[in-house]
Amino acid sequence: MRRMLASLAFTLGLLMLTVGLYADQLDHLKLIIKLHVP
Amino acid sequence: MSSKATSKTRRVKFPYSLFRNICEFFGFLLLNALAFKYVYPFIETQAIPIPIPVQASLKSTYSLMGGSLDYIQVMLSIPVLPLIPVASFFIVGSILGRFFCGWLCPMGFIQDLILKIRGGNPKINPRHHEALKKIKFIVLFATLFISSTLALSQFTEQGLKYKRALGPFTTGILFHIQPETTLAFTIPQIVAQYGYGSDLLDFTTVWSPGYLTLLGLAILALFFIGGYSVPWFWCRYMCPTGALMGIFAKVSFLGLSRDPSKCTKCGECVSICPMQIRILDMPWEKINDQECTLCLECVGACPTGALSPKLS
Repeated sequence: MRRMLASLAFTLGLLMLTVGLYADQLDHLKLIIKLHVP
Repeated sequence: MSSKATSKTRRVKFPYSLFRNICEFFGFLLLNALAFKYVYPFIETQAIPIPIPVQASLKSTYSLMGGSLDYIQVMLSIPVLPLIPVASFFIVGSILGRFFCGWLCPMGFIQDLILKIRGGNPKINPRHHEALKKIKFIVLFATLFISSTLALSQFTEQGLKYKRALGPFTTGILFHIQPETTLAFTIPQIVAQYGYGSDLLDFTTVWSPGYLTLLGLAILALFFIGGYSVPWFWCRYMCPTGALMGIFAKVSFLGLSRDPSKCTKCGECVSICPMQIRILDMPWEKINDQECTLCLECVGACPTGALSPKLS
């Protein structure tokens, strides 16, 4: 059960990362750095 | 005869504690690498847009990489679905649990340093400990609740009113007041202002109003005083990033295991654990506690070598 949940969390994480990269979220992160990092 | 036997059975112990402290120190330097720009002006490094699941402030003047929770708060305030920062929690948490808390987190490093200066490993009443552990989950819930309701409200007419009501907390309730922000951003700002001829007692900076600075300083004082009184106080009771990673740590692949055939139940592991985990009460096959930062202090302290890290 524990291993299954860990695998599920890992797969979900990879899925979110892929969708995030596909949606050009790195540009958002760069913009956030420009706006908030002094 | 007995001394010969003892010398034969004596194990050469790997210095886990020293190794972790070195890793933490280099992690601290790496995450605050932009500080080198002030020492060596020819360095032109910029912050890298990679969210990491540790308590690293996005607002810090010296931060090379920002913490995932900071990114989540800021992205929800835009509003953008924070897929990459959330993914970092899922990926790192499911494999390593709270490993980053003990080996990479800059705030963890400072807490560890305070403990080293103080010496010893005082325990607090288990009942109080169990109750105080819940604070970090309340902080996490409050942070995510405000940020997510703000994100949802921006799709309605009430969004602007909500934003105005939150004031400087629009970018997340912790964004301006967490200890690292105060330590690596607000205090340098106040000192710089003083350098330009301003009054030192004027806590209003270009970036934040005075009451926010004072609140941040109060939380920083709690961080240091708490850290001196209770080992890893911030990580145990306050850190929302640690709380989130703790949820994953309960099921993570990496954990500890205890060999019951070697274990004499001497209690050395329990007495050295800085997170006050009752290791001997855990299932021996796999120890996955939500508080365990995998610092391996217990593994190093075990006289019979019964404890070891386990990846399964």
